[in-house]
Amino acid sequence: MAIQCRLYGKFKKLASKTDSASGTVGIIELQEKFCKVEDLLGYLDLNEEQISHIIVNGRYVGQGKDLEDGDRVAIFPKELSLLYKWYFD
Amino acid sequence: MRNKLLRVNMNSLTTKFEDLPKSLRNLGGRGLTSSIVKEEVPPTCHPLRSNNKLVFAPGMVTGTSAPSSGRLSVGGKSPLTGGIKESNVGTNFAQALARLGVKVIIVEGQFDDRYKLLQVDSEGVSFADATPWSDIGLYEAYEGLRQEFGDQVDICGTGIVGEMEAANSGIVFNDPEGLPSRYSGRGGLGAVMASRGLKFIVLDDEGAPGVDLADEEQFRKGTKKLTNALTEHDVTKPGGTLNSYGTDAMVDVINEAGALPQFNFSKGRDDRAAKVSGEAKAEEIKNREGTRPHACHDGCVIQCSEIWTKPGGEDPVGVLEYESVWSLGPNCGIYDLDTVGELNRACNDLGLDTIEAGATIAVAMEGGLLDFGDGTGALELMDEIREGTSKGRILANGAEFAGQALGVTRVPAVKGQAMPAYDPRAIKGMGVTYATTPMGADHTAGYTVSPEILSVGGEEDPLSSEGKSTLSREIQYATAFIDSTGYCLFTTFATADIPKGEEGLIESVNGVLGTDYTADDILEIGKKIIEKERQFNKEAGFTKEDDRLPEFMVEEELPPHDESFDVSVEQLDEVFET
Repeated sequence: MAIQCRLYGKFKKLASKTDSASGTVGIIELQEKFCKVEDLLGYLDLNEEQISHIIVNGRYVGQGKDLEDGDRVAIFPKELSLLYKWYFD
Repeated sequence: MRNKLLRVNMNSLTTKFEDLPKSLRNLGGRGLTSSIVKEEVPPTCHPLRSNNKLVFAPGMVTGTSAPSSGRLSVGGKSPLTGGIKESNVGTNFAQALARLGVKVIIVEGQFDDRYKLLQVDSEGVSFADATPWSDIGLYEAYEGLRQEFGDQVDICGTGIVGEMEAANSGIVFNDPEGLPSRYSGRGGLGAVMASRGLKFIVLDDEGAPGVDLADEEQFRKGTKKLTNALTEHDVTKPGGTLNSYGTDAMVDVINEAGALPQFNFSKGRDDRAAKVSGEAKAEEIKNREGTRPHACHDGCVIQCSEIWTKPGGEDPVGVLEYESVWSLGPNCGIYDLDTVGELNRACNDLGLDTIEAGATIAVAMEGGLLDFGDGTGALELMDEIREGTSKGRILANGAEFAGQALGVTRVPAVKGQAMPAYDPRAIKGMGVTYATTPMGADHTAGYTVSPEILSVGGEEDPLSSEGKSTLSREIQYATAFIDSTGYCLFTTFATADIPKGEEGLIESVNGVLGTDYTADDILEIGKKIIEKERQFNKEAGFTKEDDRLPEFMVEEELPPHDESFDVSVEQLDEVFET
């Protein structure tokens, strides 16, 4: 398996199965090679407007993040948005 | 009668209203409780003897029509940490107290022939015998109190563990439906209340004068801007994240980030965690005819709360917050919402803080008292606490006490208070906050998770120790201000991103107080509050060596990132030594 894509919220509908541990997270295991997160999003037909945050191997990343074999990519939709900047930033 | 200080003397069972000293008039919430504790409580006193005091203060704008502003601070010297404590809660009780014209209640002295109940209404203040509602669970007690005093009253109280004068006893407040589910949970203030001989406070704000507005136009203008920001922002708007999933929406994000402590802080990620996520819970609440969304107090725009029930809408518990679900769930290796719900019910009923209770059970699991994942065993431990067995009393005193009793060295606590749901080895800024806040390990004191995990662009690397002293300090100062306003901390999701919202928040404060604060004043106001708190702790005997994380977190790596806590002691010391 090249990449495990973990889909939360309404994105789980894009997956045909859920993970065995919880039964609630949409899972797509992709054999294809993707250079960057944005290529993966294009493949899944997701655009920036729909996405809240992406976590690759436990790290918050932007869409330009390079992907490698074995990566765990979690994608959260806007409905699970938890983004904000503190006001002294 | 407005802007009054209500002093309650439990030695003589007398009360008197005093004018609030000029130096305290522009304070509210945490600013008020911490100033009074610093001024009136001897720092070296025993928290459960007569020299300690218990202070209740609604926020600056609480009791007005300002959105999401029904917060109240409770302060005193903590029996859990031995230091100053401010514990914050969202409840209609806060609004009722403010509308009654009471800016602060100070409970002092001790009544030996326990227990009394204090009634406050627009006619005045009186005591009643609390015996009929003592030594029973809080769900039953609240039902009985509402039958006695009417459904319209607001109630705060302490439970069976408070009566034991155990260090993990919170002060409970009612939600709008009257359930004993809103907690000033942290730091053992329930034991401080019970040790005064005070079991409940019952408020009735019918005919109350309300809160004065120094500049009504500015207040209206400000609250309108703030309401607009709250209803626009993805996190706080109706149908937004908090409204749809509650605080438990954090489970999946923090688990994916490898920072959700599990099996007593042994690992930061486990795929079973999604079984107790906000998404899973919201769906189950719908299935079982519970309530979601729900407001913890009237007039909240965000409405992140809920009422968890048994199937069919039976036996309502109240809200299952992220921190509670985590502590009673994944931190104990329990991944079942029904079990978590029943453990949370037991905490509410007994008067236990859920964070400390879950951390204590996990320490008991590590100490071999039961296996990780044993939900039935965990519920049996709650029964031991209820019965007041020796084992139960040890557990009712929190994670550190239980760790000592069971020979466990991996106790995730700072200043005697257990850590919440963010492992500091995977979110280093939170470790800095846990170590340095005067409160003991407390996530709300300086929530660096925001820039470290959640901010756009991820400009703060959660695994890096760099820059975390400044980050934690500034967030701690800003938080001390928000905790004083009476606004829910979650309003900052919107005000941080929408400048007009922040402008409105400050204008609304100015509209109530007649001040001319600007955004530049926020950190300075917060700084002064924390300086008082730190000074209290210093006089209570705390040194910089108390501003440290437990040794095991420095020595042990946390999977999946395999990181230890490597923020240096010099960095920790520079948080407030600048």
